[in-house]
Amino acid sequence: MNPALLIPLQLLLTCALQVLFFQNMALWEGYGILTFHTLGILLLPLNTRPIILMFVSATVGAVVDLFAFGGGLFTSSAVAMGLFLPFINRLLAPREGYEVTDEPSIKSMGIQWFSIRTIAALLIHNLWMFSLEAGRWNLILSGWGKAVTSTLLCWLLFTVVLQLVQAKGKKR
Amino acid sequence: MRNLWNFIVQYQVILVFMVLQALALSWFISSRGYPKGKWVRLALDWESAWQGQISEWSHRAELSDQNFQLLEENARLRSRMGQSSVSHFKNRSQFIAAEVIRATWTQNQNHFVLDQGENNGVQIGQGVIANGAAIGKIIETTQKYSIGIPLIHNQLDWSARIGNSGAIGRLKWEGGDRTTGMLFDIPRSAAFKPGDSVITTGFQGVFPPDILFGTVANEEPYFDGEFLNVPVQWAAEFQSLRYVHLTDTNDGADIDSLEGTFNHSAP
Repeated sequence: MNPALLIPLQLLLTCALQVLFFQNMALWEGYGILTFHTLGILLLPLNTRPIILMFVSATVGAVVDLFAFGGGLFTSSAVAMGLFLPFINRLLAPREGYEVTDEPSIKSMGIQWFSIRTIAALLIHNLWMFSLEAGRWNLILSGWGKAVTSTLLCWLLFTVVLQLVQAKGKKR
Repeated sequence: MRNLWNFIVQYQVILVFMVLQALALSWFISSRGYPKGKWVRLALDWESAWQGQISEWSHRAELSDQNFQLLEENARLRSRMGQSSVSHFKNRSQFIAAEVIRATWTQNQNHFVLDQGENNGVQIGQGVIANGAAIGKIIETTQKYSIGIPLIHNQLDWSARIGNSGAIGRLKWEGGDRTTGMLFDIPRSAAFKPGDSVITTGFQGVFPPDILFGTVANEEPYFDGEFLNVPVQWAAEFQSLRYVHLTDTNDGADIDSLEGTFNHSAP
């Protein structure tokens, strides 16, 4: 599909699924919170400009906030993730750099690259989100625990979804 | 001017981050888990139709119609109790039946959405109860739906009393364990024991007096200067909440206006 259409479609679909389904799921007494909209941000092209990435992240977060009554919580967390994502990409770049055809998917970059990038980005998002949400110092530790478990759950979900949606290709 | 431009260009990413964070955080701080306003009403209307549909599908097999009829009958009976001269409700309360179609119970600032709105007489500030236990209060309404915040919301205080003639304090959930809250500012001289009822005072105008919040938990109270902080076991099981009643003491607006008068006349 044409990337100019695919990218907005991915963002729209992940936001819609988050708002309609995943926001209602709170597993393991709040230790398994799913943030499916972050998959749309993670799937943005690797060469996206950092400022554009942050604006798109803010928009996605604001849409989820609006429907999940998050009051800016998801926006703030998505912007934090948007800031660090280019740094993570740079840290994980192959020696020769990314090729123009590289996509941030399991199919294009392999499961190891995808997993490290996804877990790092989601950790930033979730640590930011649960720290803000805790609102008190005595709840911070349990918030960080929730961030770690929710990150692992989201990573598992994203991996399964991408393996199902995207055909298996040659790893780098 | 040129230096300023160079600075902006050099640190554009951080500057954009700071601006976006400032906007997001000001939104977060201004709402603080208290969803209100035009956008919230709009989202509530758009999304609740879908959430209501999901709720209907998932509960279809559970004889929900019969449950709702029983609930309405219960509401009618409670309203009649309110008209009785021997009732604690003293002719002031009316009850509306509603179903919880969406809720968060695992966060520190939780909320729930009910399938009844202004068309059914739901108003902002009404108390929400289930099986005789206090649940929370309504903070925003549309024609068909309403949002409430439960007792397990760490930004709210509730006026509570131990027993019918016991000490009055400030009941609050501080996060963490969702089965207990804390009753603050109880005098050291107050007499109570584990299992004693903790009930509404009716002072806030949200609930009528004597609605059950919970019971004094089987834990040692904490000393806080001249006062005690008493752990309270909630009567309601929030995570299994489905059908609730909304109560209107008709006093909320009066109390608010009196408080407004006091605030304006204060030096």
